[in-house]
Amino acid sequence: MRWLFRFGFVDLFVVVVAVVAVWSRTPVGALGQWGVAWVRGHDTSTTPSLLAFFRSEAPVAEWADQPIALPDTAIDVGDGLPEPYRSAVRHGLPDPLPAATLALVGEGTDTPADRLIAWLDEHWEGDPEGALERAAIGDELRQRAIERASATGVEDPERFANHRRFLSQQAERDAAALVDGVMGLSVVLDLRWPVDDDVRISSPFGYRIHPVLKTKKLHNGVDLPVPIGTPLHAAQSGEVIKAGEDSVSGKFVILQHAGGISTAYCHMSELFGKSAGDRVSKGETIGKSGNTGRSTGPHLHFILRLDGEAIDPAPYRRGGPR
Amino acid sequence: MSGRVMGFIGKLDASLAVTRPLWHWLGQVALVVLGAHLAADHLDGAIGRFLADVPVAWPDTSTPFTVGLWTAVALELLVTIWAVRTLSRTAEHRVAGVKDWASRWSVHNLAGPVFWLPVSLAGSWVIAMAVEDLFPLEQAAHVVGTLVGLLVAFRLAGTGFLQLVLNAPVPKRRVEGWVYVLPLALVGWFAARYGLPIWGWLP
Repeated sequence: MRWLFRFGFVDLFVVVVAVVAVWSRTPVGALGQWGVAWVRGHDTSTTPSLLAFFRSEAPVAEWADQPIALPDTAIDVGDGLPEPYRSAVRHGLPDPLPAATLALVGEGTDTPADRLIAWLDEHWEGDPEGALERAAIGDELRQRAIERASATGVEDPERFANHRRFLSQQAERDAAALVDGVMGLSVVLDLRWPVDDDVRISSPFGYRIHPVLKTKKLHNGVDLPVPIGTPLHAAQSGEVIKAGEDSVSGKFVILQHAGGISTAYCHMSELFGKSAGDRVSKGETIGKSGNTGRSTGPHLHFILRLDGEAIDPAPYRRGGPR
Repeated sequence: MSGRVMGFIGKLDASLAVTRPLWHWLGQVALVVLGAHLAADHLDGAIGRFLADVPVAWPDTSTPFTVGLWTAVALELLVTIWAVRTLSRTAEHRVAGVKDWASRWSVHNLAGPVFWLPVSLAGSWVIAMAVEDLFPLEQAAHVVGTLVGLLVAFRLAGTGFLQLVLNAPVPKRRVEGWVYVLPLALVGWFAARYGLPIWGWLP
């Protein structure tokens, strides 16, 4: 090897590797690509964004895992539910499920949603996140990422949320689509109704003539007519992101759950001292119903949001809308 | 391989080595950018979480994280500019010894190598992981990735560090470079904490 002792080839090789990595995988490279496209008069909109190479750090409520029929799991879903799960949730019943999930839960006579619930039930004890990740990218890449996370001293490296950064960008994307999608979907599939299941919906979700303002307006939730003082339960485990009072919603609580899902409870009479940052578990009593704010009578106005956009909660009631 | 071919390759290698000052710095800067990006990818969330705890009425819960993200991008670009400037400012002649170096001490000359080492080593690990992920033979991927990472650490991170120490420029003022200290410390700490695969081995 004496003929290589001046490191000319070696240095050229490592420089090329480093420069290619920067060019293709960093904001500095994205800026360079934009500059080259601009100078050459090419379309600059096709170059990657400066933010394209960052793993998302969107706020996600974290809470302790509870082995229940469906997982209340702390999952890092970044910007929220990925497509096509987002559409599945937004359009009400998650049926049909995306092809990757159908492949996972298999064929059967019951609905895909039922099969998904059964699959999650079956895998819950044995780590459903891990099973989903293996189904998406295989065990080899998963183990590699876990080893890398361990080497940097990451706590609980087996969790997808804790080792996903150590996957290649493509592998992370593939795994996240299935893990975040299915686990996020399980959050809405497992919503608990905030009052007794048999309480009818007096005013459904959708456009209607507002009873007070007399204008056509989106009714962004469902009204559940319950007497003042009825205990209200958290629809899912999560974190209080806002609790307070205003002239429209009266006393209200907003909870952030996993999967980009949030729920809001309005016109309450009591808040039970909940404030931003408090953790709540599914079914926990968060306050009492009332008639505060802009309200025509005692009821709970219950809102379900996916990444901030109101969606109809009725399909997620046990037994469907009534 | 015949002696003639080896001789030709040797000459070519020597010729490339002669032109090294023209392009070697590009790889050194690139390595720092990779390490800084790894750090920034963790830093954005940390800044976001810090801002979210500040008692300010943010328009919504994601605003502090958006601010954190753009701050991390800005820091990454700042580090890139710093790396180019620092390498271009190194002195032509090496320091004669410890006394000579001590006579040249400045905030810039002290902070530079301290920052350089963790960030460029984190960059080497980024390359090692990327090679491991891309190498087609799965059984050999880890070994090849590690070897390339070590080669990069030796030829880019190591040479850059020595250049900063041994070719420290004569400062105009001792405090020069102080404006970079806070951003460099932030990025350097995150690169050391999240970009070096050593913490898991420590007790």
